[in-house]
Amino acid sequence: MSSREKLAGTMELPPPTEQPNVYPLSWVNETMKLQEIWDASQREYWDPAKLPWDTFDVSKYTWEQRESIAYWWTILSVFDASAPPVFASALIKTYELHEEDLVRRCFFSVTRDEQNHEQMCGMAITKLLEHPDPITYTPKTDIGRRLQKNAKWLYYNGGRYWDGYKHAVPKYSLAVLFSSFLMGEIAAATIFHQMSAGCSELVFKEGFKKIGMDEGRHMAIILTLMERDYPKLNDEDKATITKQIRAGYLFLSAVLFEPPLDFWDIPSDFIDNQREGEAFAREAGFHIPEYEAKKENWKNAMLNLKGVLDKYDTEFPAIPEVGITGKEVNDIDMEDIIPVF
Amino acid sequence: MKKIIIQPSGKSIDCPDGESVLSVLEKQGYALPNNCRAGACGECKIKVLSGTFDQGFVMDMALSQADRAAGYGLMCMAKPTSDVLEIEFGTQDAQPKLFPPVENSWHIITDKIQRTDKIMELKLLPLGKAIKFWPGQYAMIGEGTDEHPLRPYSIANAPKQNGELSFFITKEAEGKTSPWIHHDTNIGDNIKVNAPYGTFLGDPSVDTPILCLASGSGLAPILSLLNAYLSRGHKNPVTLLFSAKTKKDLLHFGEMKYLESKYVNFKYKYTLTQESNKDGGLEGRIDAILPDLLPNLANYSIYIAGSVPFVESCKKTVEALGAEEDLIHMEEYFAQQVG
Repeated sequence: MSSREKLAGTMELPPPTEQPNVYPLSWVNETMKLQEIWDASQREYWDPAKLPWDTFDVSKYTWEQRESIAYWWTILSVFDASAPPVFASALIKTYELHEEDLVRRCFFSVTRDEQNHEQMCGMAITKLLEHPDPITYTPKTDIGRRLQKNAKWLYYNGGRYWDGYKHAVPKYSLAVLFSSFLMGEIAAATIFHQMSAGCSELVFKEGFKKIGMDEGRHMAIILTLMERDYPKLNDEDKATITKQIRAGYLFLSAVLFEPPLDFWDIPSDFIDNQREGEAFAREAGFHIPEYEAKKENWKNAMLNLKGVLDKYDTEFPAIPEVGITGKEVNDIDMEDIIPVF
Repeated sequence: MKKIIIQPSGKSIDCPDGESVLSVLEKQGYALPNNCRAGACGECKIKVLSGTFDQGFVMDMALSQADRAAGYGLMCMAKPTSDVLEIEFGTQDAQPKLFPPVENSWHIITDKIQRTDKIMELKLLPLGKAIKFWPGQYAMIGEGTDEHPLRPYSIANAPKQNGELSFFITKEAEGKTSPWIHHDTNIGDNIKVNAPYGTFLGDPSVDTPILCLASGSGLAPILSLLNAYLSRGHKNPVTLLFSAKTKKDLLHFGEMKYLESKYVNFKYKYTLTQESNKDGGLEGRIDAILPDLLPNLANYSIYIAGSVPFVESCKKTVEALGAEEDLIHMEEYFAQQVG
């Protein structure tokens, strides 16, 4: 049938709309806990431009320090600045699946919050480098040049993962996607909590605090939906989730710990450059945890996630890097998993 | 019905079965900080001193094992299971937590009453939900533009069920917002209000005599506090000493006399500073007359509201009469703020 064929003259009522489609619309609400979270998201909404940027005097830092702190924001941007399209895709999926009105609203709130986090990355990088992106910027120091090489590889990997994410979203149920989102939210809450506690620069401290609160709400949305859907999970979905958690660990290690070389496509001097940059940033009062502290934080975050999955009788994968035992997952194929941002 | 007791004040609140501690506290007007309301952010973490509760499922990162072992709980998910649940919340004097401010709450101007040459009383009713506030707090009123910026005005009434708000608007000749409210707004107009703000709060359970000192539109927060204290059955003596230039400046004189008639423990005194008080009342500044009126202010809760020089002068005076630092509460009005 041609899409231009007129049916109204031949039928009293139109045929059903082929699914998935956002139509027909409805406003069903059953998971009322989400109403409270939505209300909180309206109440707690904030504007990154209203943070105390006037107190942020970049000239007090050396160029090594500025480029190193901007590099940290660049790593974060691989995950946080890509979150608006990640959650916008998920938001569209909630419409196409005719999810509850509150579920759609909550995913909208996450998308909107993530837009703020993206702005925060952009404002920090732009002010530090006096340039609006880390890739076309001309570095001023040796460490700046090496960190820019790292940044280019990070963005290259991010681009591959975005392609993977676009293909994965239509393939999986929301329940499976939730495990990936929860993983991202737990990681984000961990980062922002530790950065807020340790940073001396007021505008960053304030920003981290606000973002950390947003992530708490996002986690609550995902936990509420898991409570609704996970008791009904089938074995196939459970197995996918177990694999997904292992993949999530590998993706998110780049920002919470260090990117595993056998998963991330990065050069051999990547880690050394990154560690050197982190030392410059720490010297400037930008509190990036040391190796052991990062490892411990990441381990605790994974154990938190384990606590959630145990509740729903879903196997947790082994994470030998941080000493967590569980189901061995070795075959991480990009075709079978959802990239985690 | 179970009970929640908040310590150290000892205040007891009824808790219907199945309700979370957070929602019960909120219904009683206590705004416990919270964000996610689902056990993920940890904002509503407080210590449980005795009793048992069902914590529900919460994230370890919001409530760590160490927190749990130390007796903390997340109140957004906690439901009492024992008859009494004792929690640590608020202060010794049961000082309430603040309500989150509401922005752009549409109200309608129901009345504008010229009270003195410079002070007009503005009365508003909400078109939507009533704003929750504590007596003594203020609201931001204005258009939010450069011409008529938002300015703080103390709420002059105690919280009412219909959400009415009243304000004393002093016209500042050089100001931007107060002349606009005086001359350009009309009864029946819609106006936006942001509120509540401020920590000039009264504690309804305070067990001391109370002295309020006010001048000009500083009477607004005092009036709000007084109404709250008296209507809730405060039994100790409550004295208001109002300072005015002339008798024409005696704001809400009739209402003060009404309160004095209705509540035996309330005394209204006024002093005139630029006119003799032929009716046998007081004359002169508060620093000169207060020592004769109340020579010993030890153990008095004291509330002072007015211009900066007025508040500073009163503070020195009450301190000299033995008032205790932590029982003195002050609200200072800056000319640029009341513009």
